[in-house]
Order: sequence, then C-alpha cells, then structure tokens
Amino acid sequence: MSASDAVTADAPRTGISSSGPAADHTARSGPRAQNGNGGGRPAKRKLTGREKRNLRMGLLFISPWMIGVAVFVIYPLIYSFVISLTQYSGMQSPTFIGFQNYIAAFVDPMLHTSVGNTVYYMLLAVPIGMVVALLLALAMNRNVREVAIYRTLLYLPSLIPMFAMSFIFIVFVNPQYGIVNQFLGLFGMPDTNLLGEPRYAKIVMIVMAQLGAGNAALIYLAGLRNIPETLYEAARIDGASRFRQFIAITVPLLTPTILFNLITGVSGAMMVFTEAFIMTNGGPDNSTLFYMLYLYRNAFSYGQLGFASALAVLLFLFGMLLAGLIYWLSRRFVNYDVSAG
Amino acid sequence: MIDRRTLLRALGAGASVTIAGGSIVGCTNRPVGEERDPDTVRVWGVSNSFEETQSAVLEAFTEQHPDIKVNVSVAPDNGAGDNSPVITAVRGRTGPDMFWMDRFNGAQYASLGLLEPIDSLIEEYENVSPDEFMSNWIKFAADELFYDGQYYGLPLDTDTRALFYNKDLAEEAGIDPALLDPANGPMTIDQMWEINDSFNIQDSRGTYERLTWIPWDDQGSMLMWAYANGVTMFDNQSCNVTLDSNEMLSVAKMYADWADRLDFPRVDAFKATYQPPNAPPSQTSFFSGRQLFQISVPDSVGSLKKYKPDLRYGLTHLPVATSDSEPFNWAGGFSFAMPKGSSMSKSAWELMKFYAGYEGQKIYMPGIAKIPTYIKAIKDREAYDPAIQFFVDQMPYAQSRLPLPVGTKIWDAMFTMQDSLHQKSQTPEDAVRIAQEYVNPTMQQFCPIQLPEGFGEPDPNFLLEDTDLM
Repeated sequence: MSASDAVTADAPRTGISSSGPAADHTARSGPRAQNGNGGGRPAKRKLTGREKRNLRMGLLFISPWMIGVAVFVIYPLIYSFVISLTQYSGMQSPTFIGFQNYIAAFVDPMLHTSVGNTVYYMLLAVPIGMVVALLLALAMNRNVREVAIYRTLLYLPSLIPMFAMSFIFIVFVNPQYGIVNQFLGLFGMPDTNLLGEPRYAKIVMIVMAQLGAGNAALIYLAGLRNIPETLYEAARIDGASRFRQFIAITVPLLTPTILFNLITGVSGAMMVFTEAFIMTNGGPDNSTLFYMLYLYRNAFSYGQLGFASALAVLLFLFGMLLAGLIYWLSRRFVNYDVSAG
Repeated sequence: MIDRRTLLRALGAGASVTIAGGSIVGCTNRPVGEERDPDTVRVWGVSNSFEETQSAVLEAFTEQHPDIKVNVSVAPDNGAGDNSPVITAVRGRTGPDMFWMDRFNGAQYASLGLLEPIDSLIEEYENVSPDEFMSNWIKFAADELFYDGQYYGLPLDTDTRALFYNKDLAEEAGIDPALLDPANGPMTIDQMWEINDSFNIQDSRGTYERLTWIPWDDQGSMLMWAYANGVTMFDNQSCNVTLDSNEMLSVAKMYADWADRLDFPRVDAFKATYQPPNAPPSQTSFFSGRQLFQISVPDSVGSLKKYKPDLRYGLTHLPVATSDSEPFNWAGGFSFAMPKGSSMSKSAWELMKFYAGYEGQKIYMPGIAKIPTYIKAIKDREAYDPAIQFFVDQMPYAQSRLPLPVGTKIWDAMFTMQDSLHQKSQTPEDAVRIAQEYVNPTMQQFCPIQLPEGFGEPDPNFLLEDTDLM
C-alpha cells in the first residue's frame, strides 16, 4: 500500500479533506465565517458598516507588523537600492555613479571568494542541518514518559546565542586540549588548529551550526504531531515496516515542513556572519570570508557604503531567485494533502 | 489577475507606508554641532585598564576648568579599521565631541568625511598657524593626522617595538649574552635561525613544545618585515600604491621561506594551544615560558609587571638583515579627534589640548607604559614609565604607517598576502599581484593626494639631547 493509498483510504474515516483545493477552501472559509459572511462574496459590492469596522480593526491589529515591515524592511530595501547607485561613505553627500558598483562587484576577486565560501557553506550546512533537525525531532517525538526532559535537553543548545556559542567552540577546538581535537586524536590526527586551516575552518562552522538545529527540530516536531496516528495504525495493519512507514507516510506528509525549513535554512546560510566574525574574522586565507562578512567589511572598514549596498541588493535578488526556484521545485515534491484537525 | 486599479492602489499604499517608515526613521531631534551645550564635553575615551589613568587626567583638567562638564563613556573597540561604532553614532547624531582614535585610521576617517578638521580651532584659539602648533608633537604622529591639507586631531601616545627575550630560556639555550646586549647592535635574522635550529622542541606527534621565535607573532607581521626591508608602499608622484614592487616581491619570497621553515601549521597549532584566540591578556606563549623571543610593544612591559612579575626577561633590538644594518623600528599610536556633529566648542578644544598636551601626557603615559608624542613630554623622564626607556631610545629609528585613505585596505591586503603565503595557496608573485589589484583601484578614487614631506620616515629632527641613544 502506497502513501497516497493510505491517505485516501484513511481520509474519509478521520474526516480529513483529501484533496488540495478542498483543504484550501476549508482554510479560507474560517475568517469569512467570522465575518458573518459564510458564503462567497460577489466581486464588487460596497462593504457594510460592520465590515468596514472589522476591516479598520483588523488593520489596526496588524499595524505594528505593517509599520515594522515598512520601517525595517521596505524602507531600508529601497534606501539600499538608491545608495547602491552611488559612491557614498555614509558622511558626505552621495555621488551618483549608475551601475558602477554592480560592475565592480562582478569583477571583484574577493567577492568571488566570498560567494564561493558562502555557497560551500550553504550546500553542506543546509542539508546536514535538515537531517540533524529531523533526527532530533524524531527523538523528541518518541512515546516515552520522560520525553519532556529529552525535548528540553535537545532544544537547550539552540538557546545559546551564536555569539556565545562561537566563544565556546573556540575552546572545543583547542588543538591540544579541545574535546573535538582529543576525539580526532584517537584516530591518529596530529594536533591541528582546525580554525587555522582553510580546509577545516568552514567545516568547524558547519558542525557548530548543528547545535542550533533545535529550532528547526521544533518545527519538524509540530509537523510530525500533525500526521494522524491512524495512518500509521492502518499501515501497521497492512504489515508495513517502521522504515516503510517513515518513507511512505512520515516523509511525504512532512514535506510542507521540510519546504519551510529548507527556505529558512537557505536564507540563514546566505547570511552566515557571526561565527566567522568572532572565530576567524574571515581567515585563514579568506576561507571563512562569507558574503555578509565581506559586505560588512566594505561598509564599516572601508567606508564604501554604496558598494556594500550593491552587495546587499545582489544578495536580496539572489535570495529571491533561490526561494522562487525552491518553490517551483516544491510543486513536485510538497504534499499538502493531510493535516490533523 | 490584478487589474490596473488594484495595482495602483497597492503601489500607493506601499509608497505611503514607505514614506511613513522613512519619516519615523528620519525624525530624530538630537542636537549636533553648535546646537550642543558648549560647556559640556562628551568624550569617548580609553577602555579597560587605561580608564583609571584617564580619570586622573580628567580630574586634573576639571581642577583647572571647574566650569566645564566632562561626560566620559567608553567606545567599544572593534579592532583595527572597524569604524562601525563611530559611523553609526555620528549618523544617529549621538556621536561624541571628541574620541580616542587609532592614528592609523586618521587619514581614512578624514577621507570618509567622518572627522572635523581642527585647523580653524588652532587659528581661533591658539593664534598660530596649524603647522607651527602641530610641530609640538613628533612629526610622524602629526603627519598621521594630516589629510588633504588639514589636521584632523591631536596625537596622544606612541609605541615602538622591541625583541623581548626570556632570560631563563636564553641561558638554557646557551646564547652568548653579548649577542643579546642592545649596546652591541641588533642580531641578524640568520643568527635568529641558528638559535631556532637548536632550541625548538617537538613532541613525538610533531607538536612544538617550545619555540624560539615566530616572525608573524604579536607585533611581527609581513607588513612589519616589509617596512624593515625598506619597501615603500606608495608612490607620491603617480598616486599609486605599489604593493607589487620588486622589493615587496623579495620580502614575500623571504617570508614564504620562513613560514615553510617553521612549518606553519605546526606553529599555528602551538599558538592556538598556548594562546588561543580571545585568550585573556595574561595567557600568552611567551608569558608561559614556551617561547624564547617575542616582538612586542611597551604595553607588554606593563602586562608582564601585572600578570607575570617573576618572569626574567630582557629587551633588545629587532633582528635585521645584515650585521652592518642600522637598527630598525616602527611605531603607531593613538590620538584624539573630533567627529562630525561635535560641538567644536572652546571647552572641547581645551580638553583635547590638555589631554594630548604636555600636562595630560605627563599624567597619562606613566600609568599605561606608553611613549609620549608631545616633544616636551618625551624629553621629560618623569613623563613616562622608566621601565620603557629602551622603547623611547628606539624613537630615532621608528618608521610609521602611511597616512593614506586606503590604510585599512592595505592592512587587509597585507594580511591576506601573509595568510596565503602561510597556507601556500598563492605563489609570492601572485600574492603581491592580488594585493595590488585589491587596493589600487580604491586608491584611485582619492587621487590626487600628496603625502606630507618625509612621510613614514623616522623623524629627522629626533635627536634627544637628554636620552641615551644606542
């Protein structure tokens, strides 16, 4: 029995809508029902007094976020774009230079290095992070009495700010006394300054990022709890092994969560900064010079705010492109078929 | 599909929200410049262990000027060339009236428009020309604050370098004491390597347990060795940085050999073990008796006194290329400057002049083991800690960094070059070429500029009648 069979077979019994659009309809009908306007609304119609009041109230309630987005997202975005067309130190009046900063960015060898480093980090840290977080979530989801303790323990490292974690990790990778090096020494690795070797410095940071997997794990956990137990029961009756259940039920039904974690993971990886800023300051040999660190250096060490803004705009565009690509691909693998009521 | 009307509405809404957002960000009403209270001076002063000494300076100032209120806070120090605290404060109109600044940043900050020139204050309150007034300080220190025809601050302290040696380890290594006596002139680099070859100890896994010297440790760097070998990094005539000159290339080749000879990854593991990044100032491989020589600044005399008073150490010249070479040294240091938005008031000027002048330096320097830059103070043996006399005697040999608007970029380029030679990721030829390509295009944005006559060179007038020159 395949996953889709399981879903279809199970759905009517549990009263869960089994098709995408229907589920969508149910979700959308909620707010309308609250509006006291259960059915569909004609395309053009004057709002009633009550609707107007509701609209005003609604807007009022979301206004803190709208203002927040305007002040901290939209305004800086537009401002950055304008500044990126200028030569600007932050102090003197900006000089308009057209797209020269963008041209300079494309030929800047240091930028190429930083893009390479960031992509390398992203390609390793994101998939590894997703697997680690999923394993943590599965562990947190075990049906044992003391699960609350395990959940707390597994989530705890994620509460440590990256800033503090960086300092802790410097001790972990001390060539002679660090726990990581002691462990590697068991396999005959000589005392090595892992943060001083271009080959290893990025790897250390990728490993370190896994200590923050608890956040993604919590989201997976919510996703896991959302899968109806009845599906597993049905699968067990049909004799599916645990592995089969995982592959045929858990993974397909977890895809919306996977998509969410993938996108937040990618966006986090593109903006990796703190670890490199504290532990290596971009070294050794620029091997941890990530995009954001190079951007920061241009803005605040070299006073080239125009160039730095151009880098920010490029990062934004690249991020949008990547997110769009992931969404496009997600149509093939994300399954919105089921949710526990 | 979105129709035209909806689109226009959405755009309108977006624009209003953006304007509203912008106004919230832009609507700040904090006084700057002349709007500020002229009798209150906001200072971003020194940090950590220097604060006590600073309080003594400010107390002495307040005694003389009871009507001036001084508001001191500590500016976060983000390391060489990171301007974020000052830039953000000045932009947010919360900048100080004067702040403690690495002189190395002077020309760069001035070129960014972050600083106010002080020439008008000198002319208004001192009734002399800026050049004449600034001649009270050591020339290279004043030069570092000179950009595009104007001065941007007053020099505070300076520091030369010395080769510290651990006397116990030197005896163990059987080094002839005459070799270490600065009266006999500097040792040569070859002599350093001779000691190195017999003194270093590695354990069975190849890890260093003790080392003779590390040419890139503490104050040693490829940048310093480039200066030591007479490399000029800027051509005043053509306004080009010259990081790819033949002189630089030969230094890069020599340096690459050194890194190879010491087996860089091994040295790196040694340092990361005994002096990991962000270690407290008391934890160094030299202090713990694992390193025979260390190139360092006068502050280390203070740190040794504080953290390792029982370590027997001596000071001598930095090693040089050949036995007939003159001693070599180089110096940096700090200053006080006025950022944009400063009140530029008479009170602020009085405080800055007092702090960086004879009286202030005489109170400030002895407490922090630094060399004064005010000429009258440097000639006064009570104006600095007697334990740093050796460093003061090095002043006639001291070169300094070029006061260029791309100072930080040169610094980064040189340390990138150093790194790639350590890791052997670039040949010396490629490394110097990359450094040049990284800095020179940015330099061209500021051309033409003229550096002051004799920039970066030891002060030609620096012959102190009353100090013991070596």
